[in-house]
Amino acid sequence: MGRGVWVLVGLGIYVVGVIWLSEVAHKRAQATTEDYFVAGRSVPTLMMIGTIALSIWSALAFYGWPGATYRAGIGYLAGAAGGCVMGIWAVLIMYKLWLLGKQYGYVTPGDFMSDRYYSPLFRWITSLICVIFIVPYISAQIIGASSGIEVASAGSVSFWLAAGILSIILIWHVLWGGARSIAFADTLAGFAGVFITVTMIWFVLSANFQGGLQEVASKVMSHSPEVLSHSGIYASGVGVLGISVSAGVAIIAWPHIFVRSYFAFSKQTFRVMAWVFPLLEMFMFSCFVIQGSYLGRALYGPGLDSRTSDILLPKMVSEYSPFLFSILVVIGVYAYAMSTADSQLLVSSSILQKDIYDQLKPGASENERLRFARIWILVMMLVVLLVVTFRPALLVNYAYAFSSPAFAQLLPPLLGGLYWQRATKEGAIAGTVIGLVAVLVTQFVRNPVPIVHPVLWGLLLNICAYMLVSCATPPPPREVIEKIHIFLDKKIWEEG
Amino acid sequence: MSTIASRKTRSKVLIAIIILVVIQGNFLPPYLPNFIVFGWIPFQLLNYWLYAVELSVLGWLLARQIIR
Repeated sequence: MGRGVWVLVGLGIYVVGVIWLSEVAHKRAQATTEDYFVAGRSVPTLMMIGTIALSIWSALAFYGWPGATYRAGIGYLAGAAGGCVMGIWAVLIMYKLWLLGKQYGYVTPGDFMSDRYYSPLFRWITSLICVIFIVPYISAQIIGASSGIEVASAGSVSFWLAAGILSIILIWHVLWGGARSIAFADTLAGFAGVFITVTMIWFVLSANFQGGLQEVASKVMSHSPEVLSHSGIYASGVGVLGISVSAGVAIIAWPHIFVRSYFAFSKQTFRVMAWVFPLLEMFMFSCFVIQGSYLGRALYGPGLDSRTSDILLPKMVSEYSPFLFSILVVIGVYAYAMSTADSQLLVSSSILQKDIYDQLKPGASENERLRFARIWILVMMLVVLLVVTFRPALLVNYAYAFSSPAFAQLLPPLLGGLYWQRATKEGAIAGTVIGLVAVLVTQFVRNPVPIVHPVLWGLLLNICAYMLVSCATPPPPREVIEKIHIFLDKKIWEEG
Repeated sequence: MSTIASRKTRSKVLIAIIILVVIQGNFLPPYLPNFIVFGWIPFQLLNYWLYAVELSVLGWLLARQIIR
């Protein structure tokens, strides 16, 4: 059998596993939107950690990070350092959202925002940001996975065949199983991805460098010492802070991560996440640094251009390890891409259904609402495939530059909404809109100080506008304070 | 009541320490020395690993105060 056939067989085995999990999830499901979108708030701790981790560790991580750290060096790990803060956010933000979600039936980010800011307009703003900016992110998953499969199979499986398979399975998996199926598949992908990454590093290292990592490091130091220190844009604290906020600290505001606060079965999940997540995040992304900054530089030197370094992982595996590893990498990149894209597809559909359809058609039955949500999944997927046709280089930057800074503008109203009673709807609207405009202008028109990441410009202006306008407008109604802040205080400090 | 007050105080102290640790991992790394440890780990990389361990311990302590 040819190379492409073996790759398809390997992929087929994983896909059968996913289909089986979707079937199990479907059998357990109830025909309600709450069950479909947030798994009936019944996801246990291990699966919660799996689904949150894998919704963050996308194809951009598994496939794009080795290439990015090949180019940028260890400074790029600042993105993961920011991601470690998710452990703290689990206690300070996710636990509170979980309590509120259980009490008031929240399903989307807009549910919380509209209640806290007593404003349907802010619900719409939140929802539009989530839906519009999620499209390039899902597209990047498809591009990453399909390019990886094409390279790992030495062109036997074409980009578009891989993209077609991924899209069909993705749609089926999300439509059939909903959030529960996604949580199952994410946990499976988590174990598969960690196993594949660690064994791949071990094999390439032991097969090519008898002196282990010490030999690799001395080789890298001889021709590329800059990748083993903070260099380029990451030689300054502001440069490090930019990537750390954009790719890490702000991920709690990404819609598919935000809604995972509502999934948990018990508060125990957030206690465990608090200490597990920083270790897990740093371990996984350090593996990608070993692949890119260490093995990639030692094997190829500094000479790979941007487009070639974007496919560093499958290139390295196909040239320096047995063919079995190429199949495993295809499975890994596919699993990671699907684990993020499915969450993003589902959350965008839930937002469109709950924040837009329900507002326009309040009396719709559960069946009508579910049908609308499923139709929107198909429509979103078509839009995503349209974007995929562009296939941009610099895969990781594509999503981080466009999507993450926009989602990050929801972080001030999220944090302020939970901790600052004086925050008003006018402040939230002004801050978010000004922050978003600042991100787009500094990203696409002109950045007055290029080393300052657009996300930092956006957050700076956002926070200033949010606080100033909130202080200058009448305070929120008493019932809002009681519904959110007094309720949480009572639950956490008195009942807790 | 005093238990609640002491839990709140401990949480605030932990959050203040967490902010310092976040600065250690998200702003300071380029300014740290970068000698090689164990023949292959640059200290600036080791700092990220220490940061993750510190954040993990602090996260565990914070969760004990807030999530009962």
